[in-house]
Amino acid sequence: MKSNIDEKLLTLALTTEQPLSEAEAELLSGYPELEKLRRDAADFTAVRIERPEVPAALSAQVRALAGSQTRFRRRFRAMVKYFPVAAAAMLLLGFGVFFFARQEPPRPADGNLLSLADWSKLEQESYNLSFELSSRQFAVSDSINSGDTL
Amino acid sequence: MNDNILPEESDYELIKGYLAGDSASFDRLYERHHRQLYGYLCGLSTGNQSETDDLFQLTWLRVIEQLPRYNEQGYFKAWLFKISRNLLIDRLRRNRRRMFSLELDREDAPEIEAPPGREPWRELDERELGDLMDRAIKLLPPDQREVFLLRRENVTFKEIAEIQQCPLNTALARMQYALKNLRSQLGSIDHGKLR
Repeated sequence: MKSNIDEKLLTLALTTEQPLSEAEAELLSGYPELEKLRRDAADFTAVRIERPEVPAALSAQVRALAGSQTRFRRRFRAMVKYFPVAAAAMLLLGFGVFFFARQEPPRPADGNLLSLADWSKLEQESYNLSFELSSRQFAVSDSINSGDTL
Repeated sequence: MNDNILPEESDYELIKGYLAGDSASFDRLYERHHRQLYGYLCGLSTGNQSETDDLFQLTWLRVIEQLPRYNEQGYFKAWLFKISRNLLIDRLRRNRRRMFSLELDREDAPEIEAPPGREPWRELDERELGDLMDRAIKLLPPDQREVFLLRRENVTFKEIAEIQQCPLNTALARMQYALKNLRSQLGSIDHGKLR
């Protein structure tokens, strides 16, 4: 308990920014040693020792550092903001590429032609068909020329 | 009188502004505290300017790094001084040179005997007394000197105790001893010089 009182009194004596209330002044008046301490504190802490100037280059360096951190934070924030959109776009693109790459090229309509082993038969048939077509064309044109009626 | 004076932004508002991307907020915060911090570091140093500058810069670098974790409940000035003090102690531990005369393991030194009743310093003008005080402060034991320097920057005793990591009573006692020592030293001046 005693140390609490001491602490309170000492704080009162040493904290000189605020004027003492009547009750506080009365409390301190019982302790001449503390009053002297308060006077010293007021005298010595009030003496404005000329503060050294901070070199301008040093201040400029600190400010530049703070500025670069601000820019970094701004970029990082923008990155975080747009990250979901960019990620979704990348995912979509990747998915599309993957999906289309897996698709097989379209097969010809008549797959049997590719599996045909004997091409000569097909050629022969094709020749026969075109021969028959051209001979019929001749026959038709002959009959037109001769004036026959069908 | 100008009625249009805007209320001054608190340190925390400036910090929030800076973290939101406004570097002008940091400039204002820096402007508010840089001279006090520099004065504190110069007060603890024994005159090595480059070491002081280096510590000053390192302190602000650490502040910039740690601002996102700054707690609104805290008091920025005390936080700033605490960072500075920790860096100073780290440096002392690392190189063990006494560039700064803050000795870590030393307890409060016994107070200097004062010649009773003699107060020649009261006759000095502000500037002379300032110079003398400057020298007298450097003669104080390190912990007392630090308490005095912090107190002069209006850091509360509670915060000083937090910065020095000691009980409140210890911080108060250190200030008490610092004042007594200063009174003694200033009481012993002879023709404007410390004996």
